[in-house]
Amino acid sequence: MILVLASFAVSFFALDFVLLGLWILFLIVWWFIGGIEIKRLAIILKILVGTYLFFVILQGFTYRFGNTVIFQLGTLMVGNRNYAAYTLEGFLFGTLVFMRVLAVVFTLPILTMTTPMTKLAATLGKLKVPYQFTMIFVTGIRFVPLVFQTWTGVIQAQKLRGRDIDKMPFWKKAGVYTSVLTPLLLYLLKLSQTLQLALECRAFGSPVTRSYVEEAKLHTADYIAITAVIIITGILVGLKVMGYSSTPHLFV
Amino acid sequence: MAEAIVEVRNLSFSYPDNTKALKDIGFKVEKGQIVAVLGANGAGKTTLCHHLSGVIPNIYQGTTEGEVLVAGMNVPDHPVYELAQKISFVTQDPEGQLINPDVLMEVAFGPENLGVPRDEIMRRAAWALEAVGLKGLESRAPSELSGGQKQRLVLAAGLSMEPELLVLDEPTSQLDPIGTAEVLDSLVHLKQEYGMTTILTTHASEEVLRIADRSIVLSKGEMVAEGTPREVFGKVKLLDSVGVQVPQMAMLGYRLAPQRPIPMTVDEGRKLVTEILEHKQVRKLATTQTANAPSREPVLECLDLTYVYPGFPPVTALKGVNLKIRRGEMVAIIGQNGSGKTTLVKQFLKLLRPARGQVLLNGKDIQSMTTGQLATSIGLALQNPDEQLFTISCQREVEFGLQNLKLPEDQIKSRVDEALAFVGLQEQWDTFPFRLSFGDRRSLTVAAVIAMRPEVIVMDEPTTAQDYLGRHRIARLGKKLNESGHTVIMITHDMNLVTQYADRTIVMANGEILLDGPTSKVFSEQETLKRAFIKPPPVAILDKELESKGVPQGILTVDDMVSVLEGT
Repeated sequence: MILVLASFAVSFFALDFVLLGLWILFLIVWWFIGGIEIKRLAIILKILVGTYLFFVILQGFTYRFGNTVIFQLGTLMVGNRNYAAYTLEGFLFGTLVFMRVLAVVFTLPILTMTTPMTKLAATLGKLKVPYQFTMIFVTGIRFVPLVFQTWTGVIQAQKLRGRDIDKMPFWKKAGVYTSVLTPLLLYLLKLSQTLQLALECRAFGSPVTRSYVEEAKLHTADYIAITAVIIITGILVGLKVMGYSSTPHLFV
Repeated sequence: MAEAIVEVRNLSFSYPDNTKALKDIGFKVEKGQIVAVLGANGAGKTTLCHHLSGVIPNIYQGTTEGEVLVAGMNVPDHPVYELAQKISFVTQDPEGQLINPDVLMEVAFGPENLGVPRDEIMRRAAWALEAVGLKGLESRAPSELSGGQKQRLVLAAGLSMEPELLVLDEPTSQLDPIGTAEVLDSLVHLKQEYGMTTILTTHASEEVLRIADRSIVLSKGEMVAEGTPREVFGKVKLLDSVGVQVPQMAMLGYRLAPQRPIPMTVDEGRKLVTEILEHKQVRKLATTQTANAPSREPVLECLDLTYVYPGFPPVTALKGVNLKIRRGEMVAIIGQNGSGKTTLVKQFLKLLRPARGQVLLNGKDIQSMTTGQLATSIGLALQNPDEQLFTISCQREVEFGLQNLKLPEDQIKSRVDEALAFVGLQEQWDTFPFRLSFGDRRSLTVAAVIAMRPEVIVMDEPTTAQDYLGRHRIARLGKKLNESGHTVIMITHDMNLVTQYADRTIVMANGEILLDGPTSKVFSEQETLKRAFIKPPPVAILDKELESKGVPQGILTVDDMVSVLEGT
């Protein structure tokens, strides 16, 4: 949890190529130490390609401090700004925003794959986080595979009736997703009903102080990791606050 | 009389839309009994479970009259968390009831919510997991468990609250035969070792005979029979009229000699038939000619088909399968969950790509075709109808595929009308699909498939979570399609349906074909079937046992057994 908070802090308060790059490198090292398969990194990057393209295209044409034009598609003047011109500064800023997303996204597998949910729930309990909040988190993680399974089932059923959403261009996809979401939402409603019964029948929400089987104890490695996160976050945010910038012309 | 732990007095209930779900129900359950509640879908079984567990009126509302007393508590007077310490309620879907990341946490969850001290929770968890046979799996994630293990885990999660009563609503309806046996064996163990009282609703009449002390039959909210399973299943005519499956031996006895005591077990059936044969001779089994005799020509062919699910570690789901499906056949594919049945049929439509091997459709490799193109030749109705309904009316649902095929409007209309009429849903053409009953939703998915006029129709477990009538309705639909010229492949766990409707049966185990041939021949290989954990229907076992008495072999249904013995 501390790592997640630190990631948010760095991505918001240390928006810089070098600083964010160092943070992402730090997270990748953590992946190695935590034994998370590195090919998952490639999967995340593949999933986020669309997001990256979106950021660089949008920022390339709209970044307000952009003045080094790489190419232009015509003229679309709004005030003094030509929104048909694609700028280097916009491209770089789009890349930087994407790095901010990566900094947060790369943290999540560390949280979910190296920390057993049981330990996480116990730690949150010890930190006096209301158990209702923890349950939302735990059940969310638990039900993600079920939602994906249903999603795949619906997509397959549509393929069987001649509609292959996976092969549609993205502008067509948007229009047909309603037909995928309808059964998915109905499934989720049914699932939430079953879940409610299961929770209540196991005394969830009873007016007594909850006990925990899992004991949240910190070990030497945890203290080392927490110290490392705090120091690195402090250095990166501190450098930014003191005015460090690897790209001063971007005005960020 | 032993102490009554459950007492239901004059219980009636109406839902807020005025649907009368229970009418003047009354019964008592003694401590340590297993009571099976039988009835067709809509009979009121789930509503009764909701009353016993306090879900009504605590979570779902309506108008209740009468009393429900469990373990000395008047159920409606207590919140669910209090009742949960006396009554454990399990529903049919294990997935939705497993909340926690590992087995131990799942079992500990209930007592943790009640603030039970850690050491006591650990003691209870160890006991509960031992009782359901899951000891040693404490650190496993629920997703790594089989269907039967998942449902037993739900059971253990309830047991750790140390309840006095288990209320189980169709706990085995979504499980394969192994999973079903695992769960029911756990209930017997709990009764024998710990004197646990259980009330369960089910459609599995043969299993009720094996485990239940008493049975209750509901029909349209009314209690129409009550007694020991022997007493209840003796009322063959009544059960048949309310859509409850009569065990095969009882049906056989009733049809052969209704004046005698009705047999329930294969042993009793054998005694009855042996007595009959002392005075009479058996007839020859008449061979029935199928209306649509299959050709020799294969419509579908699999050559050395191998499929590996990626993962850690990867799982080989099909191991070099070679198979020919001939035009006009009615084929059943059977085997436990994970044996490769669904993986095999998904290859036919390229929903999964093989690691090795080929699928040929009418002699042509399907490699160059898309799923959409293949769907015009092979129609696949997947397991869960709710994942296959995307639109706002039955008509639109059937149109969906036809519009993707870009057919002319007049053709679309005529095909939609024809398909809806074929499955008997023509009157509901403008109904929102999710307002239909589960069985009708299943039929609608079949209508959507047949409207595309495929040569081959594949139905993947079309009978899961259906009652006796629903299962036969969908199987008859398959037979009707077969008789109208389609090649039909049906995956199912229901051996009664297989023996009654399929001409050919393929048995799969561990990604391989274990047996393949005419259904009667496959079911005569009882030793090999055991390896696939498949139990033949009682009539098939009886037939084998009567071989020395001159009874023709290969009899699989009550109708056929009666035809060789009746009037002889």
